[in-house]
Amino acid sequence: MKIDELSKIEGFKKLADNSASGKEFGSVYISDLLSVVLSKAEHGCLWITAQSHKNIVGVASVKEISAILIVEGFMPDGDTITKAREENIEIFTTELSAFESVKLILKKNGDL
Amino acid sequence: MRIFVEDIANIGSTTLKIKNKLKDIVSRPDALRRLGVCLFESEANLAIHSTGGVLEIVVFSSKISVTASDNGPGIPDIEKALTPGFSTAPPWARELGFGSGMGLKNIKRLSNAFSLMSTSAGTVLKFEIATL
Repeated sequence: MKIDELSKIEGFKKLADNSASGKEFGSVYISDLLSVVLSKAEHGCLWITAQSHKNIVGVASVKEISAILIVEGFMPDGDTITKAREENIEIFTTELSAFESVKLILKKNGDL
Repeated sequence: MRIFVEDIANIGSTTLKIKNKLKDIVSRPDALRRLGVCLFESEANLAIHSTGGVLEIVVFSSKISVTASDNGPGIPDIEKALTPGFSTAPPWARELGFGSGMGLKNIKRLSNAFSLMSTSAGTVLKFEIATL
């Protein structure tokens, strides 16, 4: 599924528009623990988290994660968005939970 | 290359700078990713658990050697520190998603050589990533 298609899902808002939008993500990984993401997430995945601070961009960049979806209404600050643009990582936010978000992603992808 | 690490807000920045410098030298993407994860964990450990420290990176033709050293307070029990899930990270670090007790374990698992020595005067972590 292309990252850009996430912005077509109702309730998802794209914050860090950049050239990563055209990329595909092959898997989804959900965790708020940074070391667990560093250990387990696949590169090129979509990472879903409730963390919204700047360090998430570092984690995503190191793991070559394509996009981050910040759930539960948490909002990254300007520094985080700027850093994401620099590192070419897409950031989306939503008021939804991780579970509800995944259901919508699967539905959009035709898996539900 | 020697880099001083103490900035908590920018954990990861040093790692990305190093990774960008090495991406033209290290041809294996998986080696570069493993190096990135190990550097990030080292950087986080220095920023969270020490009063500041230094990352030293030496590039060889077949490997990259990293030394992360600090001036204390040291790791009281290294065996415990290497137990998955064990962490002494303060609450503020856990709220940010650090402190899951996986950092040192990640470095040990992903590196090709690993050593850790610690006293109250400081900790020296060394690891190597094979690049060929």
